[in-house]
Amino acid sequence: VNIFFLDALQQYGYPALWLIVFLAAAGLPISGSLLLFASGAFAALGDFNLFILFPVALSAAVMGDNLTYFIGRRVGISLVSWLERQKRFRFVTPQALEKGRVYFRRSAAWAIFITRFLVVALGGPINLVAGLEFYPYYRFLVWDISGQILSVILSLGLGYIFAQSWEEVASVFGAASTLVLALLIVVALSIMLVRRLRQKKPQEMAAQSSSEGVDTPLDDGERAVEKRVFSGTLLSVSSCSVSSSVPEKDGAAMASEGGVYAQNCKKSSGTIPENLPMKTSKPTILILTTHTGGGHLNLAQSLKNLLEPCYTVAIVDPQSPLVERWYAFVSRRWLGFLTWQYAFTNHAPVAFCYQFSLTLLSYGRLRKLIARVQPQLIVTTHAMLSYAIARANAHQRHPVPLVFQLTDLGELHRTWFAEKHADAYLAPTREIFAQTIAQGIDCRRVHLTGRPVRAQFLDIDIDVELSSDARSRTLTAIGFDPVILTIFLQGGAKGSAGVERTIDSLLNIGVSVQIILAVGNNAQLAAAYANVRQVHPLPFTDTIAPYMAAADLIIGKAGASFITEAIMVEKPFLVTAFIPGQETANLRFIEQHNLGWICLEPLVLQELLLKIVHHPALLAEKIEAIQAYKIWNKQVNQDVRVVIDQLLSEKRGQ
Amino acid sequence: MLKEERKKLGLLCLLLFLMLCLLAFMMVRTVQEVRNFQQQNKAVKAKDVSTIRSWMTVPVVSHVYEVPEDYLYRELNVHNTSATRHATLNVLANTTHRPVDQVIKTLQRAIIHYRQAPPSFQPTLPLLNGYQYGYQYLPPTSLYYRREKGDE
Repeated sequence: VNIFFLDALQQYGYPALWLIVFLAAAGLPISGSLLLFASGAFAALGDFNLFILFPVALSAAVMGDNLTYFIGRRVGISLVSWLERQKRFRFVTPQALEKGRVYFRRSAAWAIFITRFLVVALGGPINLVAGLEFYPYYRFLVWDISGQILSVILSLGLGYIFAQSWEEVASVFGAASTLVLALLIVVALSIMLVRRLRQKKPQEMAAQSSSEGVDTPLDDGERAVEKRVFSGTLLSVSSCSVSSSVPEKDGAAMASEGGVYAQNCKKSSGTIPENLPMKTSKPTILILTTHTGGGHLNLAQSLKNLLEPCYTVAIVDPQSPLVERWYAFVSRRWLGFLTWQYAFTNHAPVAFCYQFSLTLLSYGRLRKLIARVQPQLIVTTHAMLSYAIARANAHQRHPVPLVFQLTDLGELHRTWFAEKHADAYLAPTREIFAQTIAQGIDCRRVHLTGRPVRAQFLDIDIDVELSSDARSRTLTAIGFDPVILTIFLQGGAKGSAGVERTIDSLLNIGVSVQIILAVGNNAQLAAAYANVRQVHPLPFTDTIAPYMAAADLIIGKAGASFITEAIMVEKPFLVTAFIPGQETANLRFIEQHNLGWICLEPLVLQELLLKIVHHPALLAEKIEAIQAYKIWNKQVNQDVRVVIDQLLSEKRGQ
Repeated sequence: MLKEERKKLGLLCLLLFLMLCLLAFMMVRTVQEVRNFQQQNKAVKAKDVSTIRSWMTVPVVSHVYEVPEDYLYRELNVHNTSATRHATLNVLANTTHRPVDQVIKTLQRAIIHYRQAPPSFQPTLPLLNGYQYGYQYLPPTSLYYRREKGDE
């Protein structure tokens, strides 16, 4: 059959190619991709023009897909009702059909996209099902064209490159596609098996215990999970976790970019949302953030604390849990990649492409989320969500005001500017304010509102906390001597702060120091220093601010949130670690505003601490600058609510 | 209920086992295909005549093996027309009522002969048919165009 089509291709040229690819895409059992490989090869050998082949093949494939989609749309309903009525195939039950349809609706976009180039044989049936399910046409078209572009480029390109060996390349490609498909099925089956085995265990235990008439005890793992899901408002919408009133969580973790807090906000994907914000007289504000590091979540929480008196606030992480895991992995083991990614995407065209591809992944989820929460205003604290949420919001019937809470202190990443038409840009520092305007954002939309901090840092009566009584009380309570130099050290639950090296340096300085080590839920780290007299591993606590206030100096990684919280407790910040790229500008920021020191080498750290011990005036000088910055930050923070109020009243006026 | 559950679990295990077998099979097949591709690619780079395929046209063979087109047509005993230029070796074999393998063999032999002692060619400018790399084919000598009996 293929020889016949190849002959036709050679003899009748482009029209033959169009027809064959069209028929293949429409679902006929013809290998369209094989013909594309051959066409690419013929182009390399001088018989076709690659630039004509591309639009011909693409249009044919898309038209073919559209034909089957519309066939599915036309005859689908009667076909499904026949399948539901028929008795011949016992395994095709209405329940199984419904299950399949639900599953398709959930992952239709991926199914359409992948079957264009990877499991091509399933392309036709997928088009039919998409039509049958009345999958939105424009979305079908977007995914179809994206997949077909990739497919045509792959097939023509490989055919062109390996001209004479195109048959062998096509065979390799076919075998590899099947291999990938088999691998995916194996992974899916393995997951199903593990889930079933996990389900089976408690069922058996329940059956056993009910027969014995005793309560089923939870195992340690379940207890741990139960403990971690805090008092009832952490929700999930498919893979989105919605927290309508996330309580103040462990400050150490929040303060630390290590993000114990983030670890605790585990998403329980697949559960049905229960506690979406109740409709109240207060307008609802949706804050979008991600669990990549503690900083973005910390900022979301800070904004929530600021807005909560007047609004119902929901904090949501719409990203897949895989994103969090990936970030945790690279920040721990592959920091170089993170640095490279930051630098690579920090160019306008790349940033736009990056944001566009992220939008393809999260657009549907964000639309659903907006439909569920129905906010009156949306804020995002993460650049990676900015463009996608802008698109999702713009395609709503009634778009709501969109606010970008810019996160960085010294330098803003270009991904923030893929979308230049948000209703407001909240700049945390003067530097960021200037950069935002320089990027061509309408200056009426840019507001200098400072970096918000969590309520515990605003509510803290610093005069009381800094009084020798309060300090002594806090330090004595943890077994420390108030007279000795005390350091608050960020543990880095995700392991990126390199804390062990810093502790070694501090303990070998030659003068006595004591360390409050914020370990969050890093049990390994806590255990390692449990028996060291000068170190107090500080686990979860809802109020971290008094501990930070009781210290003389704060040491840690140069995360924006942690730096700001150190400012709020009027303590100099000593940077011992940073993520190259995203936190490099924070180092400059600390030096420019005289907020602390940068000591990336243990010897330099020891030298500086010795100086501080012998010349306490060094600390006093920094504290003066910090106090000035704190007053300014607190003052401009008040404008956040003013901006939000204004946006909402403008919206109501429309 | 538990029995039903066990049955489902067993079925799942069986399915997983079968898929693992398929996975192993596909791995082996992919490796074989890759090796096959490597061999073919090596042969192509060496311009080995064994890489002539039935989907090729005479101009393609001429282009790839750097042999004059007219020489190949003459060897195949086919006229160089617009139709034959777009005909694959498979189509040529059908129209001349010969097995396609024989057509391929004839071409292979012709190319080998040409490489051993090419007939005289004269450079010509401008190109007459655009395919001959600056050389126009001259009338054949008896040495290179003696038709073999088996080719008829």
